[in-house]
Amino acid sequence: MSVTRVLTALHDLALRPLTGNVKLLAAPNPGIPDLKMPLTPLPTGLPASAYDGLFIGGDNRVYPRGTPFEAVPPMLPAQGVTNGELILHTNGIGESVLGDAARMSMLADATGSRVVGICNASDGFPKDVLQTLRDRADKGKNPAVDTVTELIAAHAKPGMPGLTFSGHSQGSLIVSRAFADVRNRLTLEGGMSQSEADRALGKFKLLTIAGAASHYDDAVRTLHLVDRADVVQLFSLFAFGNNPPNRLVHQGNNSRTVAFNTWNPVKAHDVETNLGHLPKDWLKYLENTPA
Amino acid sequence: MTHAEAASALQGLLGSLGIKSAGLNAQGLGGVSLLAEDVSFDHDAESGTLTVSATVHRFQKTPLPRVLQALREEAKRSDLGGGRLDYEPVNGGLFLALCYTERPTTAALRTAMEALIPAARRVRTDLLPRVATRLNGL
Repeated sequence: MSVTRVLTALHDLALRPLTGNVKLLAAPNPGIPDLKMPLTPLPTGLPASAYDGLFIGGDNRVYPRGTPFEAVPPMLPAQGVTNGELILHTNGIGESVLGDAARMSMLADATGSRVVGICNASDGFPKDVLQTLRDRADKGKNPAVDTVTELIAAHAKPGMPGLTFSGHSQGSLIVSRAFADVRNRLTLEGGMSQSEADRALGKFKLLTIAGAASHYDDAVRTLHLVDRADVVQLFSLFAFGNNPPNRLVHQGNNSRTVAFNTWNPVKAHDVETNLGHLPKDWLKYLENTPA
Repeated sequence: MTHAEAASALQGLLGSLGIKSAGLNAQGLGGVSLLAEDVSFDHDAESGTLTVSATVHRFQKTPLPRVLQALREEAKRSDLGGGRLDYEPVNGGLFLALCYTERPTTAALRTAMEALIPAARRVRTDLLPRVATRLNGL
């Protein structure tokens, strides 16, 4: 499935965002995004750091900070939507915005779900953050982690629906860290017990694709796709998988692992290779993970 | 250590990671993001100290004194990768920090960073939940 075909379909469906010199408007009700507000994507060609932590639409455009993800035009599966999920996908190593959109398209096709991207501009390599540090108040910020953390924190509140995330490679590290940050917020700052935090986080789902993290939250319903031929996962210690159990990795008490071996280290880390092993009933896998 | 000496030491560190950087900005701040972890550099011109800090957590509001006290107690019994647990009220950040008063070598900085990053991860996923459980229960 090519990006061009998906984009053409989006154009035909008139799902392109409105453009023009219109400022984003505040939602009329706090906490409830105004989905009718006009959207203006950022210009293309900016430095990667300008897109860090922002949402990527199915139109291959990046939307400004403050845009609710629900308002971003999602990537749609070529064969049509087959479930009600909207997957928030964080990209991994070495992917430009254009590359992100291509992998979002693969994910949409494989899952039958709508997909909105979260831009990880660090693309797997060390990044100098000197330019973004205005003063000491900025110390320790990470735009991609902060975006995922704020989404989880907002939806962890009582009455809010859970969200479905996916992360490829380093994207899984970002999502894993965000869940740890929110758990610590709920407990250390919010005074919750761990079981109360479990209930707040148990409504979230996560699909990791060649994930590079070695620690995942215990409450989040998680499905790991693991190719044993993947050298990146080998470095993150995950490639040993769960059979036999790998004591160096905490894959989450509420998780399942689909492990396979393509015997092809060159392709083993690719989104496409891993999604080829996504179970057809992946949603049931996530919904029926042991609690 | 002067601003120029600290910046030069950090240029060496960042250069070893393939990054061409000034090391520090005019405010004496710099940093690197690596595998979803963040390390900040902070040079205090008055004392001549360079602090290298790996982010553990960012508090949304000022933590209760009993939370900070419990974190410090637990930190004494934990492997902090050679750093110390540092809370900075100005940004709400909880860091694992190392201080240098004399210009460190590139190798020393790199070794320190490579120890601080996994330690910050461990503190986030093990120490903080342990403290929260102690304070609020399972």
